Amino acid sequence: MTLDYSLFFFLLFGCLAIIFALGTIIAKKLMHAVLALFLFLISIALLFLLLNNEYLFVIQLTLYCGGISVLFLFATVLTTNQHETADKTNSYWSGFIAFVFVLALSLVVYSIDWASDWANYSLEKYGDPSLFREFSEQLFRNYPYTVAFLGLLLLATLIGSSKLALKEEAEAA
Amino acid sequence: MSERFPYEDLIDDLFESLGPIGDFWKGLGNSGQFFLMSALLMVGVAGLFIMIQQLIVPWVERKVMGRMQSRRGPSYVGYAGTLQLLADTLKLAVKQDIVPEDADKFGFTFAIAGITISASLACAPLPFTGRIVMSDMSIGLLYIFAAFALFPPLMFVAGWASNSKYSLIGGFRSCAQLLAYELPLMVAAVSAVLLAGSANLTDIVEAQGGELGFLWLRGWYIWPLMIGFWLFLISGIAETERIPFDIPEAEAELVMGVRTEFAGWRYALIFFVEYMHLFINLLLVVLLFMGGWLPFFTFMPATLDDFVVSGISNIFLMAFIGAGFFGGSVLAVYLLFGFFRKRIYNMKFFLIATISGFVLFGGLGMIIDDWTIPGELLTEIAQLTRIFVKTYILVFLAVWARAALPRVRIDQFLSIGWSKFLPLAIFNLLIAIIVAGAY
Repeated sequence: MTLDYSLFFFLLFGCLAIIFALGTIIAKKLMHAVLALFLFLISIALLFLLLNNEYLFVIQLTLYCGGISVLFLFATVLTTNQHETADKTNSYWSGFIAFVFVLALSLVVYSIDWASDWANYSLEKYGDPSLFREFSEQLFRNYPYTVAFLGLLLLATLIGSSKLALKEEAEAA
Repeated sequence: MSERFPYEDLIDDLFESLGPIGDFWKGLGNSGQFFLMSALLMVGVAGLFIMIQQLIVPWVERKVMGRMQSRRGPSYVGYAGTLQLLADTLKLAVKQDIVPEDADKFGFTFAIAGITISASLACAPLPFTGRIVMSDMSIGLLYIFAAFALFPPLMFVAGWASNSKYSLIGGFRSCAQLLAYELPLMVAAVSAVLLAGSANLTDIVEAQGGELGFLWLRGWYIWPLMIGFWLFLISGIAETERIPFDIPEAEAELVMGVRTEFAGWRYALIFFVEYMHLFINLLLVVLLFMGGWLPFFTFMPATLDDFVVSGISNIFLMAFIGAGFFGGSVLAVYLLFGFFRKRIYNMKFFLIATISGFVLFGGLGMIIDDWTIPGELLTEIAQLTRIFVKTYILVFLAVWARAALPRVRIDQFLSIGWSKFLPLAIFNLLIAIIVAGAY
């Protein structure tokens, strides 16, 4: 296999993304974790650019790197116990659970039929206006329950976090 | 075989003498070589152009503000203080690099590097004439906004990493201000994109070339989108945190805001980025609403046809181009300052520039005997001059606002951004939709 420049950059940005993603979890200071997250989002944007999808690249930079990371930064600075380190006792269990999740995710990625039509859309059919229509048709006709389930999951997370915040507020009062 | 680019034999010889680099050059093939050469040329020309502006804009600002405050402004280094900024930059570059002891070392450097890199990246899709553009990408405008969208988190990190209360509050304010004025800026820009039907900046300028149908005016988007123009201009100046809107560095409250702890080259970079941000935003106003490099009236041609000149006529033509170019630029600058002194200031320098341009370019015309390019060259020079003049009129406006207006309060400013500018920008978008539907 020859190392052409797109493969080189893919490996570079992919490695950077993994390093920054690990940095987000491992970093001792909370603020450094957010910085690593910011850099991780940028490397994901660069991977989008490598797939010739400039539009997604720009959206990723504007919304995620520019918007979401500001949200994280504000929340981080406003937390009172920034320098507290996490409880170490659960680290083996959490490591095991993380390993299981990584294994499951790898299996899912492996099981995808990358030679099928829709997997190659972004590479070959870019610029075709029918791309997004077909993609959304795939999403909402063939996998409507997945989308609905993800929506429910997000809603549950939202309600749960607000519940937790209210509980903390009540305890503080 | 047709010529790939000028002086190809010379460049081939040059690369062959370089050993392994020569092999790389040969391996690229004809199209690869052409691509590399044109990319290098564009980045060289356009990048140098932008860098030089970062020395001119602060000088213009200091001179104009000096005149408005009844003083002379910089006047010692170079003619009328033109080299003052170069001297300042040199001074800042060799100063001691001080990092506060309790500062977060990684964040302190990372923020400055990130701000500088993102501002430099934003220059890539900016066209200066129909042909001088570093990267003519289809989503150029969105790309510039994406590059500037990295500013709020980086400014915040810069404020946090300095480990100083002034910097931190400055970072909070800077972040809030950038976010509040990014949205009206984007929505106002989208209205121009809607009329042009493209997010490519060259396309947007070319789309403004038609007739307005009133007084031989060109269909610049400033006419239908007057609200958008003012919104974009004010939000663009607000984004750079300059004096009427410099809440993040309000010196009576916050010393210098985010910039408090930065010294030496770090300060020079943050200063440089501030002016780059201003220049890019004003250039975007020109490109989106003021027709870019297109002339004001439709009877003025936007491009000139090629023609062959040879022998004696070539010398005169070149001499006139040179005299016009040198003298015109000097006259423009001096008219600007003469305006404040009630008479044109030092005509001697204008005469010297005109005559030296005449002689210099006349000499060039003597060496080059037979030339077909002048038509294209004239077009490029004319387009560059037009875009220059328009941008510097806006720079003048920004400086005027800085010298004349008091600072607004943070709560007033943010409420203007969210509750007045954003609805106005959406109203402007509505006008754009109606206009686009009518044509």
